[in-house]
Amino acid sequence: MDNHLTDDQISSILDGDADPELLERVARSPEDAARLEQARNMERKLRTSLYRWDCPTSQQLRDYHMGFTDQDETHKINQHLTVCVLCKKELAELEAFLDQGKPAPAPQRQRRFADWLKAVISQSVAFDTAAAMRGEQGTSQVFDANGIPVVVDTRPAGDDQVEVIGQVAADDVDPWVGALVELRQQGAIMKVTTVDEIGGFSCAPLPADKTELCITPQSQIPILISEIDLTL
Amino acid sequence: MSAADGMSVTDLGQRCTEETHKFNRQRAYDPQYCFELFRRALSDANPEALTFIYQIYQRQVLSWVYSHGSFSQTGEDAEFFAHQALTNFYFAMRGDKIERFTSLPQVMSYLKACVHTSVMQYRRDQKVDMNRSIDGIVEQALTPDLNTRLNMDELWQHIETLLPDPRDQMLARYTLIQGLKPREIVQDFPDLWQSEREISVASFRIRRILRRDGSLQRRYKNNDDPN
Repeated sequence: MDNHLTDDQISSILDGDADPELLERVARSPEDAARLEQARNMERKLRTSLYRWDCPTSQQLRDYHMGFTDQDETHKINQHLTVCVLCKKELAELEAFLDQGKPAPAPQRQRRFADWLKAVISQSVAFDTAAAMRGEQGTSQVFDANGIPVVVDTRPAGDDQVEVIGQVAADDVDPWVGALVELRQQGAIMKVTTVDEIGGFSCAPLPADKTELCITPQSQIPILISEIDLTL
Repeated sequence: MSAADGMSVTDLGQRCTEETHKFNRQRAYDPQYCFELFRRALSDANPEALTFIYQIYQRQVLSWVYSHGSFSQTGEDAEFFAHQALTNFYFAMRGDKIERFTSLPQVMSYLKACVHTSVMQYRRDQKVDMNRSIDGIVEQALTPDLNTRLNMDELWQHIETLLPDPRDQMLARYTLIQGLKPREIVQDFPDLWQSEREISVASFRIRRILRRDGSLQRRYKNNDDPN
């Protein structure tokens, strides 16, 4: 007689409907326990991989709501909304959020990027001391963000101010073109600019102080340099 | 031509700051300076205008994050979502796309919608991440690429073949893709299913069919990344 767990028995256990006798039997048999675990894993993985796989992204739903999607996309989303409870709910929440009155003011605090930003944190790898020793005006610091070098130069811009000139020296610079560059001092935003066609950027004038720099491309994780000393 | 058109970015930034203060104090305000500032920042890619936009609107965006109904469930810092929202706004509206808007309230509404999407997309990804880490599945891109999508298309077609009854297909969609509980399904589709018991029985049958399928077994048996 075959004493293996049947499919019905496995289903009843997974559904929490099994009688205690069956559960005891599984507990005593490593072979049954392994079969049950395999079935449980398969179901879990199936659910995980299928979860909202065909839903438009939240950004696509936003643009659909605002009327910014083209005819084809609008049609697809319309179709999807006839079968998707979660996207319908997300759209309803968006409408309610937009209709919501004036929010309470945010607490007055300015926190460092490093405290909350999910980014590749760059490490300082080189500092051009030779240039400084030669008395050249301006310094060069090199940072490494997971293999992407970021070079930051500073030049005096008068009245204790400096100009920051940077370069994302990636092998493939294309994903970085147009990336947002934010410079903060003591948590306050000082300058925002974008990366140009050859990976460069510049900002001026900035107080010569400790500065956080964040470079956010459209579709990659941002790079954060948590401290550049512009006083050098 | 409006008064704002001929102004320098520095003057526009100052006027926009003043008008925003008036707006915040619920006094009459003139939106043309801020609107023109947005246009210069996004359409002309003017860094000075972009800096003003960040400086003027960062706190507004942050306050929207705090007031979002799902924010507290994320366990994340508000600054993180404010940054995401401003970044998404910039990438979605840079270049001539800003020309879609004819007034400042429309721009602000879109920026506010970016706050919503940054929170909601995060919650979606959070749920997928949580399941993946429970399953020990190797992390993959949060927004599926085309190959993954085609792969999932094939998988779903295969599941539909295994479940020829349209009601079974629908139920599989609600339970597997949308992760709905029987109670929620009865609530949302009372015309199709009248009781939780009915759903549990049908779901039991569907899962048994899927579990018996050799192709699904091979796909999920020893594979860390089911996609």
